[in-house]
Amino acid sequence: MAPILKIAHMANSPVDFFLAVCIGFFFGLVLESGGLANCRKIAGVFYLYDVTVVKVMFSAILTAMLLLYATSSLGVLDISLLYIPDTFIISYILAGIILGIGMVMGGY
Amino acid sequence: MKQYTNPYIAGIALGFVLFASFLLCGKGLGGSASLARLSAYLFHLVAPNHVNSSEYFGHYFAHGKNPLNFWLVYMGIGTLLGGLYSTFIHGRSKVEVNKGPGISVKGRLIYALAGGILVGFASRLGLGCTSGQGLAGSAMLSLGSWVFLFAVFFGGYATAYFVKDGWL
Repeated sequence: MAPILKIAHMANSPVDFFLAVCIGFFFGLVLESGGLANCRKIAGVFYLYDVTVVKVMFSAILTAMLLLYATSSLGVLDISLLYIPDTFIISYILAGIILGIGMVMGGY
Repeated sequence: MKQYTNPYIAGIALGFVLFASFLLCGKGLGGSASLARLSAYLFHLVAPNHVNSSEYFGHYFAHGKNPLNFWLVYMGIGTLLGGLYSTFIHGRSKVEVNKGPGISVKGRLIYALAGGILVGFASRLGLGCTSGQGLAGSAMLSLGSWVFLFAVFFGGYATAYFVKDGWL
């Protein structure tokens, strides 16, 4: 059953931290391979000269979403144990707008 | 310099990484928390009382905790290493200031600093950045994350015209 570490009560253990480094490694590898470490590609989204970031992001969201749905339907993954950020609509709208402004300025 | 991976392939691979993170650890991906914690740690070295009394950053240090001993900080280290490794294997590693054709290096750095300050503030206000909210929250179909994600696009498109000298 998954999520494995939560069920094994090993959240925030050294194993958790080690896995975080490994997952981060692949996260960085995939982001850079796809061009998301390139600020001109990030900015490209907002001028529509390069929409790589949108393609990568939404394929990733869709893939992860389908995998989460499939595994939880099969009873492999207990989705209620997964972290979901709390819903603060007004803060998120403000934060999103400010982040978008910063993103197009800085290219992050 | 090698071409970037096809964006759909990269996206599917990223989806698998995100899914693996949920499956193994029960948590998604994050980018901004490691930087927030690193800055809090550095500020704490200089002005500990000020940081401790801060409503937001104080709890990083509550009961003598080390703010850097947190899974997203470890993930941040991994992300840096993974990105660096990718530039090596793809022949893309070089020192440069990447910028649009019409802007000076100094101008680009000023824009980057201003943008970075906004992104840093917004990522704390929104409990995450495009990784934690945009990717992980959205894949969980969290309403707040989708609101956040569309607000990011709105903010970016609304501002793009005014900072176009930086990129076009």
